[in-house]
This record gives sequence, C-alpha cells and structure tokens, in this order.
Amino acid sequence: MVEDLRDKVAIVGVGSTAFGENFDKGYADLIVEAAYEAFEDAAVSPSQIQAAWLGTCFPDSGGYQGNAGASLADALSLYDAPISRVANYCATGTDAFRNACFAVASGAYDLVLVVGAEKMRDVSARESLVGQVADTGHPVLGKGVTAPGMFALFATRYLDRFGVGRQTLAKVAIKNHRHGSLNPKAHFRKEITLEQYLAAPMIADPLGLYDCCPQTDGAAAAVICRADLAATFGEEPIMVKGIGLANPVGEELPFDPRSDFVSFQATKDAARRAYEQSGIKDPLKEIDVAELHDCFTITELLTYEDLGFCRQGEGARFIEDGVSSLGGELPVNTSGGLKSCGHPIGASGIRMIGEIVGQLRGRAGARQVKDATRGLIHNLGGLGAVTCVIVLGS
Amino acid sequence: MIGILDYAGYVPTFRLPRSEIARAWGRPSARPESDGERAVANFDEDSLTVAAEAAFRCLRAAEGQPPDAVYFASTTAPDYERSAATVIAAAADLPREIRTADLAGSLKSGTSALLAGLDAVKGGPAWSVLVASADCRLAEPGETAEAFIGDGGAAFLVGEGDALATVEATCSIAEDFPGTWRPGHDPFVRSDDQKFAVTHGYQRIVLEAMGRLLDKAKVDPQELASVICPSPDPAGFVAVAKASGVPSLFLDDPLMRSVGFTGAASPLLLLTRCLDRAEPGQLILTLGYGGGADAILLSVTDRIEAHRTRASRDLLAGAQPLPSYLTYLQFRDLLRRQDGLRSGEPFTSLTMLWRERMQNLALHGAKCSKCEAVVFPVRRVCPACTTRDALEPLKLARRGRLVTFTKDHLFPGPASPTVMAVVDLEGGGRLFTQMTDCGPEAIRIGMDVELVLRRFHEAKGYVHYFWKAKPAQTRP
Repeated sequence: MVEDLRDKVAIVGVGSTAFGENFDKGYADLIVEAAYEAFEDAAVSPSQIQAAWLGTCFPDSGGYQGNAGASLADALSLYDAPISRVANYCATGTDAFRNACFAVASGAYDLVLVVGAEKMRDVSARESLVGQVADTGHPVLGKGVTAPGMFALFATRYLDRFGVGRQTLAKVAIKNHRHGSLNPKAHFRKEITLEQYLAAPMIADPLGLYDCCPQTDGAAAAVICRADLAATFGEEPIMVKGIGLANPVGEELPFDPRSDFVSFQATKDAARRAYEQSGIKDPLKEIDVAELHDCFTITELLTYEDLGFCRQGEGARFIEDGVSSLGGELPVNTSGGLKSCGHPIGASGIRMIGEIVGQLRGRAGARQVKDATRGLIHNLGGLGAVTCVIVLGS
Repeated sequence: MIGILDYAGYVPTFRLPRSEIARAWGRPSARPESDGERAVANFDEDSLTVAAEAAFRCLRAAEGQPPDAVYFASTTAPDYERSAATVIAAAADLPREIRTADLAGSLKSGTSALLAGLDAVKGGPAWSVLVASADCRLAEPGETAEAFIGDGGAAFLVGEGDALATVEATCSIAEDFPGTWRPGHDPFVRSDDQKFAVTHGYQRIVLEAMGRLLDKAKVDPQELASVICPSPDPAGFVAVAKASGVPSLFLDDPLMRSVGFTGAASPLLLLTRCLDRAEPGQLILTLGYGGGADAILLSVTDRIEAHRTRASRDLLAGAQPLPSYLTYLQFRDLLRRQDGLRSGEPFTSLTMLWRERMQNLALHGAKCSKCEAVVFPVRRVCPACTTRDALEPLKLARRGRLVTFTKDHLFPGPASPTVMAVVDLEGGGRLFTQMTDCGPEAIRIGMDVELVLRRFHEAKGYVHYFWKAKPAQTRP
C-alpha cells in the first residue's frame, strides 16, 4: 500500500470555537481559542509542539491572514516550530490533518498541532466566498458559476434521474437543524420545519436558502502524536485508522464528459483508500457515526451513496427512513453538519474530527451515539475536485 | 455570375409592445406610434453579436470556399478601435489571411458595405465578400424615436458563382442632410424637425435616387416587384409610396410593425425578408438612406428556390415578450440595479485571452491523435490516455443537448436568475456556460440547444465575448 496510517497516529486533544458570525473576534482570536482548548484537552503546553499545520482556504476574505504558516506563528506566538499552510478547497482542514499525520507517522515529530481557521465575516456575506467566486476564475469559461450553482447542477440531475423531490432534500436540512439544536457551538441552533424550508427564497434552483450552509467564522484544532507516545498525553487517545485523499476529476468537473452529476468520484476513491487502510468492508455496519460534508443538502444525499452507506439511488430512502438521524443505524452529522455549524472552510474538516473524537470518547452529551467505536469524517472540496475521508477508532 | 450568393437575417428574441412604452410615459395609446412592437436586443447582445449571428447563419447556408473579406457596417459598433469585422471573422473561424473592414458613420453604411463588397468582387481581388450589418441604436428615454428603433442585423455573401440575385444597376447620391446624427460622446440618436427631415430629407433624396437609378437602368417603376426604402420615421414610407407610383411597397411589412427600424442594417434585413418570398425574374430595388442614398437594383435568378430549400428560416419565429419597459432600460444599462455583490470588475488577463483565442472565440477544442478523445478546454496532456502533446485542434459543433442546469439567483447580472447549463456538443466536447434567451417554456434535461456569441462582461473596458447556449430554434 502506498500510504498506510493505520494505528500510527493518535489524536490526543481537540478544541474549537463557537461557530457563527463572530464579529467581535478576529482571525487570530479564533485560532487562540481553538488551539488552547486543544492544548488543555491534551494536557500539553504550547512549547511542546514541534511542528504545526494551518488550514485556511481563502485568506482574501480575512485581509490575507492565513496566507502562510507564519499567520499561525503570530496568532500563538509560536515561533520555534516549523509551520506549513495547507489549502485544498473545502477539504483544507482534513488535508492539513493528513499532512500532519504523515509527519508524525514518519517519526520526524513526536507532537504536532493542526489548526483549521477561516474568518469569513470580516467582509459582508455577499463579498465573501460568493462574491469572490463570481469575479475570480477564468475570464469566460464557466463564468456565472457560484458555489450553490455548482451543486445545483447535481441536484437538478439527481432529482430528475431518481424521481426525488425537494421534500427529500428538506429532510436533510431538518435533520441537521435538529442535531444542531443540541450543539452549543453550532452557528444555527434552532429547528426548522418543512413549511419554512419550502417558503424560503430560491438560491440556485432547486436549492433554496435552507439547502445551503451559511457564511461562518470559526476555528478548530487538534493535537496529534505518534501512536506509541499516546499514553503520555491527555486521557483518551483516538486512533487514526485510515485516511484517503483523492482528486480524480480535477477542477473542471462540469466540462468533463465522464461526469454523471449524481455522484462524486472523489468521494468514492477517497473512501476506498480509507476503508482499505482501516479494514472496513461494510461501512453501514462497521461505521457507528459519521460527519460528512453537507455544504448543500444534495451533497449529503449523494454522499450516503458515494461512501457506500447505501446503493446508488437509495440516498432518499436513507434519510427518509431515519437511518442517518440520531437514534438511527448510522447517525450522520450529529454536530448539525455544515448546515447548522456553518462552514468556515479551513476549519470544517478539523471540527468534524473533533466531533467524531467526542463521540468515540463518549463525551458527546445529548448528541451521543451509543457505543460508538468507529467514526468517519468526509470532507469534500470544490465541486468534487478533492475529497478526504478519515476513519477514526477508539 | 456576380451577385448575392447567400444571405441571412437575425432579429433578437425580445419584443417590447409600443403601447408599453407609451404607458410608461403616460402617453395616450390610441395613436399610430402605439401600434405593434419593437425588437429589443438582450442585455448580452450588441451590434457585433447581432451581426455575427446573421453572419454565422449566412455562412452555414453557403457552400464552398470561405469569403476573402468581411465587411461590418453599423452606426453602433461596440468599440471604436477594436475591429468588429475581425472579431466576427474569428468567431466564424474564417482563415487568418482575410481582408476585414468596418464601415460606420452613416445609416446607409449597410448598403454602402454591400456596394463595396460587390465592387471588391468585380474588380478583384476578392472572390467573395461577407457583408454583415447590425444596429442597436438608442434614443433618449421618452423620445418618440425610442418606439420605432429596432435591434437587428443581416448578412450577405456576395461574389462570383451561383448568384440568387444579380445587380442590374446602382446609383449613389451624397448630400449632408440633417436628419439624424449622433456625435461620438453621445449614446443617443439626435434629430430635430421631423416634418422637415421626412419631406425635405428622406422623401426628396430617396425619390431622387430611385429616379436616377430607374433612368440609368431603363426600368419603369411598374416593373418593380418590391421597393425597400426603410426610414427612421414610419411616416416617411407613406410619403414615398404616394409619390413614387410604385405598385408594391414595403409599407405594412411586419418587420416594421414587429421589429422597428434597424438602422444601417435595415435595408439589408428587409431585403432578406423580400428575398425569402421572391420569385425568379423579379426586380427588387433596395435603398439605403443617410448622408445621401444608395440605390441598388437586383434581379432575382432561378437559384432563389434552391436557396430557400437549403436555408429557409422564419426570421420572426421564437419571439418573446419583454416583461416591461423597465426591463428594456435595464438591458440597455439606462437604469442600473444596485448590486452589492460586485465591488470591482471580474478578473481578466488579456494575455490569457489572446493565448486562448482559438479556443474561446472560434470554439476550437482538441482531439487526441492517439486515443481520439475530444478535450475541452484544451490542455497538453490527454486526460484519457495521458499522452503529452498529441492533441490536435478540433472545431466543436455549435449545437448540443442539455445535460443539467440551474437557475442561479446569486450571480449578479441584469437578467437574474442566471441560467447555467452543461451542454454535450454534437460530435464531442462538453461546455459549461450560461444560457440566454430562455423563453417561458421549461428548460429540460435533454433539450436541444444552439450556441450563440454573446457579451459576457467588460473588464478594463475590453468586451469579453464568449458562447452561451439558447434553446434551439431550428431542427438539427
């Protein structure tokens, strides 16, 4: 196997800020909060950190902060450790984590820090990711694209091909809002109804306001070490069982004649790699809880299928039968997902890791999945340009 | 023989009822100027794209070698220094060695371009010339002229060959008459005394040109099947009809009622309509007026029927009503919507655009000579077989089928929602682009679409043209 991280890396501490429109907190404030919570959780001091990885995707929204690892050095006054900045669209957080894992597994470092941080609301909501996408990119090719618009291409095709209606997409949003109402750190903590969903304005047909995750500030952090040193730090180390990263279609998915607009090959490939490392043969049975990338409701629906939780075309039944709800066979996005937590891009992957770590340690409170021992994180970037899947185990 | 080898007209999709304009300005509706409707170019069209569409249709009908020259004629060219004829030649994927010329500055520049094209063929070196003309003129909001202006264009291929109409005689007069004018800094057409302009300008000069031509050709007015002499003011037609004694005049032609006066392109656009219904042996007199007049006497040949079979297309099919006068103002950027989303202009790189001009303007994809995969956008390493630099240019089809789409309310634009579509092109290649001219009929996965050249945006003042998809109007 080209990459094999099984049982080589332990997560010994996690932390995160509350996610929301944190107007009174700057980029550095978010990092300090998340990182120090992780240090305390791991019972380590910052001076013990030997290297760090920073995941920030779009520094332009934050006045260029997060453009280089030095931004993390400044935020924490952590100048003795080498720091790399990682960017891989919305899979930035998990990719930063993945790189840190290789460094630790190689023996180069004993104890390292991974931080995902994104300050999206130091500009107006429209000026942040949405505005950037409209005015950047190729001068004419794909001009008119927006983030919801891209995923709406999938929603149109999926709904048409499998005879699914918006009511099914609504169920994903309703479930994630319900879970989010149990998460004190989520951006949105109120439940929503089908009526509210249907009455909300259309954003990119057929995706409406409640199909889309909000613009959010937030940071999350993880402290990781080599597996044999795990006992030295913190209380309940959680092991990395497998990580897969894949970018099989590149950035021009809508131009690619192979695209079927009902599945993400990147997810399938990343999952296959992660399952191979972690020994997962039947994900529905062997995974107890999962955080997946519901940037839009349609993404969650497709991802049930792409991760092998169910067969293609059966995503609708998966949500409608309550399989992915708390209390179901495989609860998905117990945190509330991107829909309720929001999606500070670089932070999301690390936040998901934190949620699964909490579940596997039995510390998820009202969101706890009983006897969870295997958890999965799914983090998708661009329009399926890149996906990272991580399997963790206790 | 030398003459007209092919032709095509193009009228933009949208129509604004004249009664809507009158209502917007609180004018009583029971007046002649409230009759009918006028054609309004979409927000993403301009004279270049309108002429280009007519040119593409004309060239599709044509068989044989590409033209040796492209002449563009308009009083509303989008740019004073960027040759529209050259852009059209590029988008039509014509050979690099070609003569291009832009005629401007007169409402008769359309007929002048036609005459120049015919002269180039007669005297050499050109074997054939593509003449493309369009106008999207603007009157000051509230001016009566606003209701009679129409947006439209036409293209003619003139040359040596199987002409469907030959030129019997021509006559041109030059006179600087103050009818309509538009100084360089002014977006709006200007005029003064309408009565004076019609009787002493248009009517007098047109009748003089007509008289001189018929004398020259020794033809009696009664022998003419049609006379085409569009006027900026509809009253002008009536005056000429009464005075000329010509039996059949294009007075109540639906093009004036449902399109309007299309400036320099008007005589050419009306001529395409006339030729659509002409019989072999008929004599047609076409007049362009402005800064004098051009008069052209055409004789229809028996090739006209073959052309009709090959290239027939209803000019007015697919027309859609414009929602309101307000929409017209927004389309023409006379009323700007406050758009908090855009703080600057879109990223551009002129070097990038230049490198990619064959891909973006001529719509060249690539085909791998090793594995035959069709690739778009173009790249160096084949995505199917990973062979490097084995990709050869491939001209992509401008028709296809819709794979998926969305109506995006977030992307800023005058016609929100922006429809984004993924299109599988006939013969290979997949395009992800905006849709335009979408009517009330549902956009469906699998529907046939055709590609049209449209304005995307300006950055650094440079107009970015690219291809959009619109619901197909003709059968493949």
